[in-house]
Amino acid sequence: MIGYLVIRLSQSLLVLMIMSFVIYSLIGLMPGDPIDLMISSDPYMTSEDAAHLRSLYGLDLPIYERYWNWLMSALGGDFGYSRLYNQPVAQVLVPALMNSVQLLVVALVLSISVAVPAGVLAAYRQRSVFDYSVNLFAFAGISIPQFWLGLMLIMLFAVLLGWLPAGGIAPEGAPLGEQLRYLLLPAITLTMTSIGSHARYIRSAMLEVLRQDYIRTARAKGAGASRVIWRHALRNALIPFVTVLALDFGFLFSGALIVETIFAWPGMGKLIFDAIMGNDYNLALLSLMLATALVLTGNLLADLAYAWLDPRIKLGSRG
Amino acid sequence: MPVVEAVNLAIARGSTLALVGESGCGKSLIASSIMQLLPPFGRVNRGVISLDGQNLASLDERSLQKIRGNRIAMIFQEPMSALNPVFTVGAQIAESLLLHMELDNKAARQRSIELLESVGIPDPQVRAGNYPHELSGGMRQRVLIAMALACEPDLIIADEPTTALDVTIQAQILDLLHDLQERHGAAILFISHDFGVVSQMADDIAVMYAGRIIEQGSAAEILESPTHPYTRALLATTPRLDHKADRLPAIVGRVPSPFERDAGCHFRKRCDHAVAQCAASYPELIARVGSHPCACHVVNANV
Repeated sequence: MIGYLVIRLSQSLLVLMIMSFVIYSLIGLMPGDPIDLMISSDPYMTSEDAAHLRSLYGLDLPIYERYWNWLMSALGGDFGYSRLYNQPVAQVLVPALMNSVQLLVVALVLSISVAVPAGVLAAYRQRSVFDYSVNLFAFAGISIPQFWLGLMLIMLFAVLLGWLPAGGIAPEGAPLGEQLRYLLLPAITLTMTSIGSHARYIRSAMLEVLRQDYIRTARAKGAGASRVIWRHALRNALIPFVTVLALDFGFLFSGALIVETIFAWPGMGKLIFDAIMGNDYNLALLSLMLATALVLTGNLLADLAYAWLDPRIKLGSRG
Repeated sequence: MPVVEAVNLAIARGSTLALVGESGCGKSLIASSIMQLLPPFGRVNRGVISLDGQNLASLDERSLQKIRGNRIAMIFQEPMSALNPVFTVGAQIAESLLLHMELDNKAARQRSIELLESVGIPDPQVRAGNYPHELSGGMRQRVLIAMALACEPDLIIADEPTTALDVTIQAQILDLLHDLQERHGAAILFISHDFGVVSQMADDIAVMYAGRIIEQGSAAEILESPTHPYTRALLATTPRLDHKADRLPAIVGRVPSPFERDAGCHFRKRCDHAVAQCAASYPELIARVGSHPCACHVVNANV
């Protein structure tokens, strides 16, 4: 188990390392650099000044040398300054990351707590009105684009009814209720798509499990319908669902980028957008790497949950 | 559409009735009907299923739950898939106890270990904590039997309990069932397609074909003097030590599905003795003087 974790973590680190180079190169390929932006904002700057600044910042070096320089200082714990915020990158990132994680966790919990019961009951009452409604709702959820749904929710609840704020985040130290008011619309927008796919997934996994022989065994023992469904069947249906959740985690994160932009939620999404538009290399690089790390963590957690749910899987036995 | 018709079976306490027939003749459906666990769209249309005078077909779901696993228990034919893969076998046996008996978790656990021991599983303490995939097929079948015995049922339905096992294990399981029956005095409905196995277990035998009982009697009567052409043909396909044959005979053709059945005898198209009357009406299950019940025009006309 410990050995397995060590191997998985070092694999993740290797992936992160490779990704840092890929992301660095992609950013380097973008047209323009910070100096171009300086020129456009300072009419007195000459091209000699610009060339001087480029060599000062090392922007005239070939990309692999620049990457090497960055890597060396990054390994020493120095991720550089954010050009836009004039602060060390880590200081800018941490609060944004916290805000994003808050949104993601709320959306994920919301999605699971609605999708699992809905999917289970839809499978149990297959071809009932409830089943058809769940399917309809699921397809609607999957099909509606998030940017449109977000705008509609703002129109309805913020503009017309005025119940909830149209965007932003509660000021620091605000009571929990106030924080939730700000969280509600972005979380619902973000959840809607995943509720649909999760409910449909749980439904089909349950239908598969309910056909198994051991379900008949449980009923022959005298177990009631609810015990058979929630204890015997769901435990088995959750095993494949966990994999889907992990894959969805990355999907949810990219969805969060859109939702955060619509609701002006000060999270990673908005930060990445600003950093790339503002040629803030250090900030863009580290936030994209954090996104990668988040997805890798999601996968690792899923594998651990998989082994915890399914006794047939032993971690680390394959080395 | 009727799939199983005109079935009349009775099992006395402490005795074993074997229900014999080839795949698809409705043996397992009878088991499901007794348990009231028919697949969707299946139901018992007419007749009664009586357990000590109580009609199971008229009970509501809640009362049935109190009977299933408690007074009637079932041993399934697929030891590989009939156990839930995510729970330990000890927990799965204890579940029956917790559902039907006034036991706390600890007592149920203790009792499930005793049950594992009683079905001949070595190291029951350790095995109780194992998951099904950690046990062999024979062990799993024993676990299923232990599970069925947990609440000392009055009736055990064993649906081909040895089909998936190799011959050595098969004999052990049959001995085990026999012993347990003598100890608990349970009635056993033993469902099988294998006359070899049935001859070791049964007190009485009912032979089924295409959803109906075609011959019924004591084990000795059916095995030693079968009268129905189907039973005779079926017995001829069973390998015997005292008759040497290069090739076992086979019954040509297959069982007609419920869609293909007509008003006549369902077996006549595969029967060597069929006469005109066989196509006209279905023969009644009647006993000639000095013999056991048989549903065949030819047999019953040859008084």
